[in-house]
Amino acid sequence: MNSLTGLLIVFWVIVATIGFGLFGIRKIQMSPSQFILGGRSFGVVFLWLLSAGEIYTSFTFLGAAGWAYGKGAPAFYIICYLTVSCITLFFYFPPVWRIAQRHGLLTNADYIGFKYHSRALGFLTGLVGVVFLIPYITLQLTGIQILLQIAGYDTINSVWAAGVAFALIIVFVSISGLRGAAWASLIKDALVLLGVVFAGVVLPIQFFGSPKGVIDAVLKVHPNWMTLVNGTENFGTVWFISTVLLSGLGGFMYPHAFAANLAASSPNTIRRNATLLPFYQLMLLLVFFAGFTALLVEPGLKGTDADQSFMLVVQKHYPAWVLGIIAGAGCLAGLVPASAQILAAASLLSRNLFRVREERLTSRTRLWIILMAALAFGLWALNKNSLVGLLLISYNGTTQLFPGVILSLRKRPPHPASVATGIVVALVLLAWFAFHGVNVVYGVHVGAAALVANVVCLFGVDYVLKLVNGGRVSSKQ
Amino acid sequence: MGRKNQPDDMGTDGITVGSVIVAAIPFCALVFGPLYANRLEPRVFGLPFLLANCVFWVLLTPFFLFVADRLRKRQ
Repeated sequence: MNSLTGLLIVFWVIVATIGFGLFGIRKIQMSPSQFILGGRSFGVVFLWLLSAGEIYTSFTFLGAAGWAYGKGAPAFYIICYLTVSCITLFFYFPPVWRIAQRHGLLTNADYIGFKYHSRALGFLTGLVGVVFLIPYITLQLTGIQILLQIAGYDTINSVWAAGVAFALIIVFVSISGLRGAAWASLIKDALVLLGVVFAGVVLPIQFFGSPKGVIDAVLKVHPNWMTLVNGTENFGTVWFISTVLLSGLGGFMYPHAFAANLAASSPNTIRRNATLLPFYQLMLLLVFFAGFTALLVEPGLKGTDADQSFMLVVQKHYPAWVLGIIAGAGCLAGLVPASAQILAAASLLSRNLFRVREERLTSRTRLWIILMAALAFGLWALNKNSLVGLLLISYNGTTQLFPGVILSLRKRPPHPASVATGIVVALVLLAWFAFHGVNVVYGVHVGAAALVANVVCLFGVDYVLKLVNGGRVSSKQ
Repeated sequence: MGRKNQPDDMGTDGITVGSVIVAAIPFCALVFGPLYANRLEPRVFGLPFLLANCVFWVLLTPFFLFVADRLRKRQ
């Protein structure tokens, strides 16, 4: 009975959100630019909702609590890097937007290909985008599965239930495009806020009297939980700094985040959005409190099980309808970003990797949405990882695009071959690290180490090419 | 490739040195925070100092970006 109540509420939350999204786009004519970028017409409010909708994912909902539960202070990196992303976005994105709007560019690969006059580099950018979005989409699926499993009190096959929820949202986004995802974000943001306030304020007050009380209680049991412990190989100060830099610079390199900002109606909209987004971080503070509460109330979860932390507390101590609403909010936090991510990956596939003519672009993108979703689901069913683990794999790869985007704004951008070399060297290095199971080198996060190698190679190759061409770079492809 | 950007594709939307410096303050505080703030005490509203430092700078970032926007050159 309980399991039915919980799951029914989750189901209706998802269906109602999809209905709302479809209602929002009922009068819209679908052109490719409308489908992929919402017609470049989003104002501050809409862009803010969509950005918040995309950034605050299942990872925010479960993974951040999981890290507060399982690791403590290293989890604080999450508040910092998102804010660092906003600061960098404020500066480099408005010029990018102008160029993209003037020349009708729809994806980040379009932009790079256009700026460097190199379709090959555009192709590489698209490929990196698609490949490294897959772990991010997988992460959403893991989150949804955990929530459905808990909401169903372990009575259902949660893998297939997650598959059903995923299929619903995929059909939705293939009809509605980016604008529908933005409308769905509206409900998602509101419900997630409700869920997080419950988890981060009500839970600590109920069990420990106040949010301050939970911190005191944690410190009594784990005196080192609220500071970074140096000396150990992982998760010290250097790790923190390098991870904030890596994730902060890469924050808006994702194809879907790039698309959301290209959908802005003007450069000022982008700047205002970047200025206001940090306020949203307060939500993460509440998520940390939820994780800390779970650490004391429900101790003993190890490894990837830590991602379930505060949901288990809700399951054990609250009625099924409360659990249903919170799990529903959490599922939206996975499904809405997943829909935007699949849409972005599909537009890269239809526009940059397997090009089609403009008039067939929308229908071909829809086809790719289905294929990409099937691929992500298949890969996910084969291999699951902890939420933060998946997120960091995804960032490691995507951030490697950052130097190319920034340097494209110089008066004389570097040679495309040097940008490509940098990206390839970094990816080879990352693959080597992953193969050998290395997560940190000398305390530095591997993704940041790869980024350094990327930049060094980029400038090195560019310098050599200039010497070879006698200071003059050929203008042929 | 390596060609010069067309003039109409240039322009940094009026970014000035001043605006970059202002925005660099929260940037550095957030990235390098643990170098000076990796401590428990003093507690701020019950938050351990490391977390309080992160939250403090996150909340101040909109203010710094607002000032950075004022310092941009208007076209």
